[in-house]
Amino acid sequence: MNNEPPGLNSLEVSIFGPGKGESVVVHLGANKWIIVDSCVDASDDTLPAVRYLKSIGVSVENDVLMVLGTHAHDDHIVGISRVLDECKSAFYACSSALVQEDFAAVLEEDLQAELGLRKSSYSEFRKVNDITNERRIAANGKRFMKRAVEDLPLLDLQINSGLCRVTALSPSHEAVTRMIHKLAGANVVIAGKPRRPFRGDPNESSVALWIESLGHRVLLGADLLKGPSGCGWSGILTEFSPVERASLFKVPHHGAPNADEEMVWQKLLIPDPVALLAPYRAGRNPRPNRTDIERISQRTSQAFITASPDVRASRSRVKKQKVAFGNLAMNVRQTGKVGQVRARIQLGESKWNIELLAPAQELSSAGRSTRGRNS
Amino acid sequence: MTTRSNDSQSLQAHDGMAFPSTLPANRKYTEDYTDSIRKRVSERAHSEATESISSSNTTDARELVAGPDRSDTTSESARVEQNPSIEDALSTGFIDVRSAETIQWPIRGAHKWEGRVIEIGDEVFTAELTPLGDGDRSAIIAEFRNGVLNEDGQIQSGDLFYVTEQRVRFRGILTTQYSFRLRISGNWTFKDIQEINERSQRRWAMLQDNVE
Repeated sequence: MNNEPPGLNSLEVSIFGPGKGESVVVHLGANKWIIVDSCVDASDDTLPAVRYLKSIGVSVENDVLMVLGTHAHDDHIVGISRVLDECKSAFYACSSALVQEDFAAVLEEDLQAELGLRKSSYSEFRKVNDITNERRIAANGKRFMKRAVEDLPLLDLQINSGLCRVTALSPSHEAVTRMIHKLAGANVVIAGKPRRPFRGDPNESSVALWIESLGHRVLLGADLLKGPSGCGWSGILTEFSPVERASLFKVPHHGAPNADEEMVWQKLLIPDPVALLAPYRAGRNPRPNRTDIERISQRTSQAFITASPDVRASRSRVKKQKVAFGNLAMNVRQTGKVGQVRARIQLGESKWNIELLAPAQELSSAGRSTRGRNS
Repeated sequence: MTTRSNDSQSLQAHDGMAFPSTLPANRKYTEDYTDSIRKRVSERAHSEATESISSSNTTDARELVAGPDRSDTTSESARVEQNPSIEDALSTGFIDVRSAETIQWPIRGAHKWEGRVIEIGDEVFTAELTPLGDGDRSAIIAEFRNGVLNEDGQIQSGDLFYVTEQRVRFRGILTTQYSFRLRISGNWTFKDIQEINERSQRRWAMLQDNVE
């Protein structure tokens, strides 16, 4: 993969994923970029998206316009405050469900619980809040945070005399309402009573994006689930009907069936679109599994994944910890190396040019190596 | 009886082994009370370790000391005044009693990890663990039997916990002990709640200022 930046009239979508986590960068054209979600390279604690942009000569400070955290899951937001900190001109966008009074209370309750402890479930959000606040003060009141909700344009630009628009397709108002109810229920605090941290399902209020630029359309599916009713893909399909369909799709939720809505492929995507995804190897049932791969491969011949979904053999430094745990721990492993799939298309072209940085590969070849796992 | 507030003070066990260096703010303990706990912990640790060692015939016997911390549910003042059982004293969420269990013998090695529950199955749960301390902090993913953390069936995806491995040599026999401590938040005093609410209001005001 070369280090040439995309041309001014070139749309680029790059996805990074180490096996747990994913991050997407999009070149909208004319040196304008957005970053969607964040992951960290465990081998050196760097941010693959930022590292890549710098490697191709992008001025991360000036040319990244938006950083979006699609939802509050660890594998999508780890390191996102560091990404935002690097992208000094960018505003931060997140699900409207997370810009609520009750969510502010969850953040503060979490902080109280963390006093004297080391890890914080919501520290990324608090840091993001602080960064956007500092930017507002430094910019004399200009606001650096946007709430994403269905059918809301997050960015409008003129690129090459054409309109470039980035629109949130979700969360639906129904999904936001459901999250508000859960948050409100979580915030009944009683002195002297131990209680559990808030655990709503952030996938329900994920932010899916529709991007139109340079005559092309892209659908980034976050981890959006099929439903429940009025939410997820079912909510989008009820409200959104594009004039022209997308030619590139970031497959939602690592290819899991609970996010796979067949009508999305029929109504929102062209036949045989480019499909990109990142694996999730951290769970008991890594995704995509063999069935997921077969299903996606039936829908498109152009599916690519940032790394194999197979759990790989332990490396030496993992073995040391494995020994420390003895028989107590099973299947000790690391998430693995970060791969990249880069898709570029020029204004006026009809075919995406795909480049793979190992361990990224075609999904079909990942399917051949995935042994005996079904859903 | 004197009372002190612990924001960042370290409680030292008698042989210099540190209790957690930072205790939650706004928690108050009497020195008499903590001394009492130390004494009881020490007595119990000696008793348990003797039993453990006497039943072990190998040089690498692993003994799992598992179970979630049971946060005490008494109010601040009640905690000071009541005479707690040894179990209550041992289970208080703010004193690492299991570290104290080993203070009687030379520690040959100790490792700590911070864990996050990723997924819970019928028999095992999956967690991401980050080693604590100096050196390589690369996270690993591993599976454990639910029983080590989930005695009451209450763990949820996203819960945090701590794992400590200690190897102790006593009379030539090496024993390895593991302790799993589930972090349970929200054992609040009224003052805690007042602070949370005040900060929440400030954060909400800030969010409203910052969001378009």
